[in-house]
Amino acid sequence: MPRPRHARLPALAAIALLALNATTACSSAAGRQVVVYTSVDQEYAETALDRFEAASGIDVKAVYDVEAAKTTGLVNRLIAERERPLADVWWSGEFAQTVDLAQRDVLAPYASPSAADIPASAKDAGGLWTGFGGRARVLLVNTDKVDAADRPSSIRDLLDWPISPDQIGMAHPVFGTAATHAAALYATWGPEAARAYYQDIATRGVRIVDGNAVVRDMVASGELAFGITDTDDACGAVKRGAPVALVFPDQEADGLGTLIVPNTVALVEGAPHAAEAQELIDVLLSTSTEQALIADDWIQLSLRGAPGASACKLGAEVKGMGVELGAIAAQLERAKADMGAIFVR
Amino acid sequence: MTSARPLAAWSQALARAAGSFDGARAWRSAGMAVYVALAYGPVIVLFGAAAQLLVNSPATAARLVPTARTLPILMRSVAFAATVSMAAVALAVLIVTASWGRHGGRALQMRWAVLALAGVPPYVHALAWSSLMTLLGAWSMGGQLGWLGVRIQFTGLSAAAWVSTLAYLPLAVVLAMMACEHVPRSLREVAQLDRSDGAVLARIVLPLAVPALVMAGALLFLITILDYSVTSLYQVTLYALEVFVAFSQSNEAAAALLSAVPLMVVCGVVVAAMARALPRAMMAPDRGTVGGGWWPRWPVPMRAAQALAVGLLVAATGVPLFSLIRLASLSTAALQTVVQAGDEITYSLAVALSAAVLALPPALAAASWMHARRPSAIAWFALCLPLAFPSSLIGIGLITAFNTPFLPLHGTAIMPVLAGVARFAPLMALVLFAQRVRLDATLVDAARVLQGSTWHGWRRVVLPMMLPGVVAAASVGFVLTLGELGATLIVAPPGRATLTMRIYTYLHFGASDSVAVLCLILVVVALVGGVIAAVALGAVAGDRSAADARPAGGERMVNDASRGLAP
Amino acid sequence: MMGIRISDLSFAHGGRPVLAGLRLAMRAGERLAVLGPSGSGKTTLLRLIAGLERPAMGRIELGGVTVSTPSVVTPPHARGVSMAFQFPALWPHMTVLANATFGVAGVGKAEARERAEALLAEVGLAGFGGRYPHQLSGGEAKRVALVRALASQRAILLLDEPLVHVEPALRDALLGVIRAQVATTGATLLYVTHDAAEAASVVERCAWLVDGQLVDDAPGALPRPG
Repeated sequence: MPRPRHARLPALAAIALLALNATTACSSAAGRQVVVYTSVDQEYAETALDRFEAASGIDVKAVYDVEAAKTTGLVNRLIAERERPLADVWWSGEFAQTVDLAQRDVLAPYASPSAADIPASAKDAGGLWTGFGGRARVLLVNTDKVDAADRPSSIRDLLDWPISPDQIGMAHPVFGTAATHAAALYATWGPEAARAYYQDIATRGVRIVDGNAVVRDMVASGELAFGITDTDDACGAVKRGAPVALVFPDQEADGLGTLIVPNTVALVEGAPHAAEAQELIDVLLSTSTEQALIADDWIQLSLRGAPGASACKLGAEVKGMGVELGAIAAQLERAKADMGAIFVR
Repeated sequence: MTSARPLAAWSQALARAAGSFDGARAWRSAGMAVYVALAYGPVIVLFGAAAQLLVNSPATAARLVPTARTLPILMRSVAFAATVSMAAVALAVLIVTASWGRHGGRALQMRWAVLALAGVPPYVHALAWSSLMTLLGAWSMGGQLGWLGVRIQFTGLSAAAWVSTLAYLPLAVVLAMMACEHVPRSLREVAQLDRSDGAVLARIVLPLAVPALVMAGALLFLITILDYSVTSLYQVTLYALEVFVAFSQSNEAAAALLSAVPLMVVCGVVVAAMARALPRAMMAPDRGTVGGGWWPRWPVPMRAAQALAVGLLVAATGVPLFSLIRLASLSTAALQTVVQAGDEITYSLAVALSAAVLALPPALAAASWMHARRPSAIAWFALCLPLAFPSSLIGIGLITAFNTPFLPLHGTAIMPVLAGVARFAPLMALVLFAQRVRLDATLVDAARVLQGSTWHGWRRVVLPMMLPGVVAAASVGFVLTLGELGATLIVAPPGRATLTMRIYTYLHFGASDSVAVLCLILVVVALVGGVIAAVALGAVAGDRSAADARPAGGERMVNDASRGLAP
Repeated sequence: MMGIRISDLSFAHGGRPVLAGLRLAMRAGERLAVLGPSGSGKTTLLRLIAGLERPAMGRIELGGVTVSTPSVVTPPHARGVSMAFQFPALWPHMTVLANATFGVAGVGKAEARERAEALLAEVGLAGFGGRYPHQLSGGEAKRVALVRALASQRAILLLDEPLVHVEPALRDALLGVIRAQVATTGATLLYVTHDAAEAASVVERCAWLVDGQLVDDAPGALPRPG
């Protein structure tokens, strides 16, 4: 008498499971390896890390962030792993979270020889992290909707530009570089004035969207006339031929300046592969890597003063906000709390 | 001989203990312990950290209570989730009733393939509708349908509710099928002698299916209220986002956990209410309503409503597929995208399958344990508490639990599997409990008397009868794990990524054509899983042939409160 | 062979007492019929003996071993009890033969199959082994359930109205099968029925469940055997 057909299913499932797991079994390389956690966009980080892997023979295992997690996941993973870290290197696309990690004793001091020509203002005094390269917070304008002569030139234009506020957008200022931007304004204008600015943005009805990439996409498609985003997102739209233009805000002589957000690299405290980690850090902080990342359009500015060959053709020097990175980081927690109170409702 | 007496007494005591040893209870308890460890482990660790935070910083206790700002967000979240879940269930019932009597045999069983569509993540639906609106000349996520000369805003709560309802509609259809199609034919046929088909549906079938439909609605409520991925795209803030904001602001998992407590309380209330609604009257399923020779003739208004619901299901299926195929067709490097994502595809399949299989035994044990004990509302609350946890917090809890010298699993490929188990074992337990409740108690009792051992009866009687629920639970675990991001991101081993992680990466980069290609793969994988589930369910149904045979002898309503009483 | 001893057994459903201080003593191999009106607790008594319910008070001993008290209940399958339920309770995913051989233990598969097929033939279901429960009539299902209980040949046999839905022409034959099996195995038989005449043909004595207790004399409204 034949057994019921469904009786075979558990066995089939077990066989399929074993087969699948066999095909994904990871045999760890016997050679050298380094583990890097990075909030840099995978598209760019992967290229740089592949170059290092090919040149050094060190196997690079990367953990990338995704936009939806807005770096929060990766940072908290490092904090949670503090007692038994998996990561060797932390490479961030910004600095505020790196400062927070340093304050939580997640990072270890390392003075890379490659960073000798990087200004001291872009490095931690205790050697816990080093900044390099730079992205900027820019205005991305849809050229089909806004004439060249009528383009906004300041972040204050979000408040009084003569168009419907639902044509203006910015990423949620609780997360990522948008939060860092808020903290920079707190450090520059003072908390009360900065808070008032964002309160006015909320009151006006400027569209708050899910990330810088969303701002980019909506400006490129014409859903927005202009918005604030990062240069890497903006340059991505330019490269794809979207009808957009970048504007570095507040570049007048007496203007606020544009927030420049450097990448940061750090050695993780207790890194399982410290020697390999230092090698990777040396390469990431090198001028050649910086130039390559500029050419790839992940970063658009060099803290070393070298212009680089950005495909986005930004060219001219950009006037920064002139505020210490540490001062910005010190305002981050308060700024995030206020942004949550204003925009999360 | 005095020394022999204590020995004899001990022997007799041991013999009595052995004789009274209830293997079933022992296995249930062991399985429940495993369930607690897997589903609650990360939670308990975080609760410990939260308790310590409260002790060290009593002011953080303020997070436990919604403020004047966050209370409206919480209320909005409840209203939103309730609207979406009720709408999805109502539409699902219309769709299921529309499918009765139209097809027979294998085609009927293949309806379960709609489960595959449940594997399409909600954000894909949102992007698809956005793409459709753009194609129509409108702007999505805040746009206006100018193309039609009508200024309609597709934004805010209404747009988010529309997209969410359609995104969860396939899952709702599967749950509604399970709810409506286990009503004994005899009960329906008796009513048919006196009432129209519509009245039979309204007065017999649906009331008997209500408890399971309540459970379906509760499940959808929980899924909706905890997922902010769609609503955030439409500028709608749910409380789940507030929790994530708290996490981001403080980088303190314990503080974020305290912020999540109000949400967990709401979810717990829903689960407890659902538990009280579960049927005390268990129906002995000799034959389902479908395949039992019922070709209902519905009233015209109902047929219209069914047509609308089916149309919405078609839209829920067609719009994402159409948008994805259209975008994928624009890709000049589709094959390259697939090749590049090969590792992620394989890894995702392995993780999802492993999580579904690994979660089954403890989920089965939990369902059996709850069924055996007639749990209180507090027990239900405790069972489903992990459902209310933000995924990222579960990830952090997993690291804390498994990044120790004694349990050094962090960094290994199994961690995302544990994340899937921790997140979805409670959901699977609920599905299995619903199936367990519907098992004929007399059939189980007969096995308990005649079995050679507990394992004998479980393997040959209980498990086969529960197979539809087992397959359904495993399928739910599989598709949800496939789309899981929050916890997976935290625990994915270095050098490994899932398909969902890669999709999100491309989303950020703006490579919408690559996103479309990968999402299509996700849909295909989910479809394969759904077909497997459909075949499995069809095999079970085939063993009880759908032919128009005479009814099996003997059926009765077994009232749990009156079991054992002679009629 | 095992006897049954029940002392001061009490059980309630939803607050309503069903059995109140019931006592019963059966020697090994004895055959007893339990009669009583609907709702008197006949099936409850069988379920308690089978270990499917926990008593509120009292004690049940099988073969001199205590198997049920309010605090301890030996699992049903470990009691040496076989039972045919009031409703057939055939497992829908198993064939008639698989149902019938499920409780057979201690012999090879071939012998179990032979035993079950022989019994099926005796009850008029020869050749039905490959069918599924949904392909049976009510009476056929009852007969299969009876075969399932008899085939296991356990020391105690509990039959809960085994001939309900069975056509009258077959009843005598089935009663004969029951008598023969019990005589062969020496099982202790507890037979629940409404039909005193039916009971009289298989058992040695009858008892009536009245007000939660077993009495030897039938109350006025209840039938006596013969």
